[in-house]
Amino acid sequence: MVTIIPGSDFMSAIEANHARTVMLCWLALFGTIALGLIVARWITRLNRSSQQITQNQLDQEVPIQRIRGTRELSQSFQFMAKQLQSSFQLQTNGDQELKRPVTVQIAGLAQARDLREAIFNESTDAIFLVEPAPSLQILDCNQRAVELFGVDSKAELVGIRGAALRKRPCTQAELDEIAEEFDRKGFWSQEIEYVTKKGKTFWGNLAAKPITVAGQALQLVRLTDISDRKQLELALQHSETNTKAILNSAIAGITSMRVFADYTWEIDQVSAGVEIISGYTPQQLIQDKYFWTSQIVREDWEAMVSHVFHDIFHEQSGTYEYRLHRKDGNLCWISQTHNSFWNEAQHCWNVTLISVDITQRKQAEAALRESEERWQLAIAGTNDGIWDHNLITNELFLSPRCEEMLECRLEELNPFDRWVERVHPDDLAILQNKLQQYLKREIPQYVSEYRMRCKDGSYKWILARGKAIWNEQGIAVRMIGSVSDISDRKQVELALRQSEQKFKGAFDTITTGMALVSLMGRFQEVNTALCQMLGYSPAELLAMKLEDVVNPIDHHIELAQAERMMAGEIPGYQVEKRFLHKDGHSIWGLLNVALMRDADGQVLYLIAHIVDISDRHKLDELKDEFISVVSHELRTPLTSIRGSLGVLETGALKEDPDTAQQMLQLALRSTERLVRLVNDILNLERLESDKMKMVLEPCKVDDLMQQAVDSVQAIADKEGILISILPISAVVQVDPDAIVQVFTNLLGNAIKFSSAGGRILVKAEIENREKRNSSTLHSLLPTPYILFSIHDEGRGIPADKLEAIFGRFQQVDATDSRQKGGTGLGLAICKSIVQKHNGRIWAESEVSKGSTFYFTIPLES
Amino acid sequence: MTKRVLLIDDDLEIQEMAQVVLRTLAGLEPLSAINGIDGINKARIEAPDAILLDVSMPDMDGFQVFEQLQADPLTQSIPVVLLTAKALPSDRRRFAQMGVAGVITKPFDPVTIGQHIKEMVGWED
Repeated sequence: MVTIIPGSDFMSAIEANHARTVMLCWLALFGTIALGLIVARWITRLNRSSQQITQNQLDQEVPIQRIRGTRELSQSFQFMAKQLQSSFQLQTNGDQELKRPVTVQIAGLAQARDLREAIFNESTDAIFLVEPAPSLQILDCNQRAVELFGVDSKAELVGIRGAALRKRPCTQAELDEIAEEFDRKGFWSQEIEYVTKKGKTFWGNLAAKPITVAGQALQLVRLTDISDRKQLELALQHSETNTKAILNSAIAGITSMRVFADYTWEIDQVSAGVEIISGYTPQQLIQDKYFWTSQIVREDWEAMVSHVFHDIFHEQSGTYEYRLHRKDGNLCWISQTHNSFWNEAQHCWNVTLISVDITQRKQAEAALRESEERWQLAIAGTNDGIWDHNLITNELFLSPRCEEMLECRLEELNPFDRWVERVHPDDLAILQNKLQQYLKREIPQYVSEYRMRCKDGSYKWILARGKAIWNEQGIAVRMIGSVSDISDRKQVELALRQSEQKFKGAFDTITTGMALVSLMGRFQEVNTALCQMLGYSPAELLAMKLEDVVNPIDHHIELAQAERMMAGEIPGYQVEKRFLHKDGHSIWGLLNVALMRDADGQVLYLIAHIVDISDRHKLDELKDEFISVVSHELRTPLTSIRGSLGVLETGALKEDPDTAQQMLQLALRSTERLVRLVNDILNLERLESDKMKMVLEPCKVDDLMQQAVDSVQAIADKEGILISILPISAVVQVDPDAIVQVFTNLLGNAIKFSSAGGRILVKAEIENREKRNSSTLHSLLPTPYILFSIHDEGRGIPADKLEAIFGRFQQVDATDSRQKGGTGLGLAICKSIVQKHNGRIWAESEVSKGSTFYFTIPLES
Repeated sequence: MTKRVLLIDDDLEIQEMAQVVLRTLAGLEPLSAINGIDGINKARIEAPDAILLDVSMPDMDGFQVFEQLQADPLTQSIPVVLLTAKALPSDRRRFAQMGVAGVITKPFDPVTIGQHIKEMVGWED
């Protein structure tokens, strides 16, 4: 039994750790126990039966099941054989007693024969009578033999060699062995596999003993069918093999050992798995029983050794983890479980160790720990909230920061529907849109900005980001991401947008040309004013460079300054240069360039400011022209003065006092003219330079008119010209001196150009509605206004000169006016004054008939 | 024989003064015209020995008058002296290119003007 079942303590000692092993062990155990019990029964029964047979109680039921107790069986058989022999002897004795009455002898014989027949035929074993070696032919056999070999009658068996019935033929060596045993022990038994007629095989226990029957030496052979037992044996063997195979295939080192009280041990078995774990072979470990422990990392061994022995001695099981040096030099983590129980017979503890490689598990644990740490750190360190959305159940996991951000508890935000409720209605569509786009894989990541309602009802801008986890069917089952509080950023954005808008507003509405220019000189931004100035559309300008709109003559006039600016010596510079309008003409512009830098001092772009100074230039040109003209005008009377006085000084006219007097008068006249000219020039300059402000005060119209007329009355009388006034009662806000001067100038002209006896009419009217007139000047007058007119009957003014005469030094006909002392500035002065009063001045005339000069003064309403 | 000089100038006072100066101090006989057209006509008719021509006149300025005088065979040989208030070197250069006999700036010195004219025109004293 012991040999069948692997050491009972071994079996019972294996822990549940290894389920299959346990199951098989239990199976083996139960099987073993069952078998043991059965066998025990058989033994006792057989013993009983055998005993009873020897007591001639031959009608015993011998149990069919066979056990391996061949020795006892064969001994009992031997005994039986002896009995048979004695019965045969009886028969022989009977023959010898022929003297006895035949009937008695026949009866005795018959009795003996019946006995023999009974034993022979009722035996449940197959019995053969076999010729001794070397023939070994079967002489006779019983019915059981016939049954056993599946033949129809004993006739088929008689005459053949017993050995022929074997499955595997007997070798000569075996035969010799048999013979040797026969000689030595007097009998021989063996278990042999036989083949029936039908080809079925079975195992049988064969016992052979030589007997002598009627002087003939024979072999009495008994064959017991032990197939069932054999099958069970085989099954057990098979299961044992399986078990061993399983144990050996387990990637665990299973060691069985015996531990002694003196802390030593002996290793009995080591499974093959140990090689996989450690690289050391079982043989190595059995050979050197201390090898394994010597490979354990010192500190781990020292930490556990006392505990392990303690467990063993107390028959407790336990599990320990330690590091082992593998054969390849690497370290691995081993988890070792031990079971022990006290083996009284051997005075030791039977210990089973199961060692498993947990390196990967350890590594995984370490990695997980690390990862967990990192995760926690990340969550703690980030300012973002983490969310985990189970798309199936709609459950939300939110990190504490989320709750903090929104000042809500998790219950108020979970599940997802509650979260969505808090999203600003305007932003809901955006959120859903982005989510859909992501889930349809149109965008690589879910990112969306939206407002969430905090606990206190205010809205906070948050930025949500996330990624989904898809299952095998391609459906998103889970999303994980973060939320950030971007309210500050949003505010900054808003402020920036507003600032930009302000800038843009200013930039675009400014009436001087402005542009942002890249360092390469390209236009990056242009305002409306610049486009209008240069005659391009914004799109056209943005495709051009600054130098494209500059007259090539003036391209590099500011090179030195530009370089200094780029070098950082000056922040910017200003220069006048000619720009090119789209249609080719030049425009004088004042260019102001400044460098724009960012916070780090890096140059971003240039700001160019261009003011159209063509007017000013024209003005300068006009001024130059004016100065030239004025100098000419001044030189003219000076010529007369110099000339006339020069002549006088020479004394050449000593003898000609009349001419002398004429020259003096000429000088005087010219001097006065010069004075008037200088005054007028100064006056006009002051008027036109805006330095002279009109000091407006309420004046009565009729007073003004009268005053003017009075001042020229004397001259008018001298010329014989009549002046009439048609005033109105009105009050105007005017500078009285200036208006009187206008009247005076106009009256002066009227007198100059009238012939003797002519009439001049000075009139004033109030106009309440627009007066339709051919003159365009007139039609745009703001109503209501006072219309003054001075009409003369003089020679008139040609139509082409009606506007020109209001220009400086413009006279219809130089001769007359100059002759009469005109400076050529009178009408220009009138125009200036009238315009300063927001009025208009113009002339209408018919040559040879007369002229009318009009001017208007608006009435304050 | 007293040389006759035609003064074409629109300023009456200058004309008046010049009459006296030219006669009394320069010993020349003055003729006067108060505008370009008048001047050209008189030049043709009177055939003066020299013309004093004011540059800046309204209607027809001195240059135009000069052109006309040059174009007309009757007057083209009459030497012309320009009278001008402009005294810049650039103006002088322009005048010189015209082909006039000389340029006198206003206001001129009455005492020396006669001399100047004679020199420019090339009369011996």
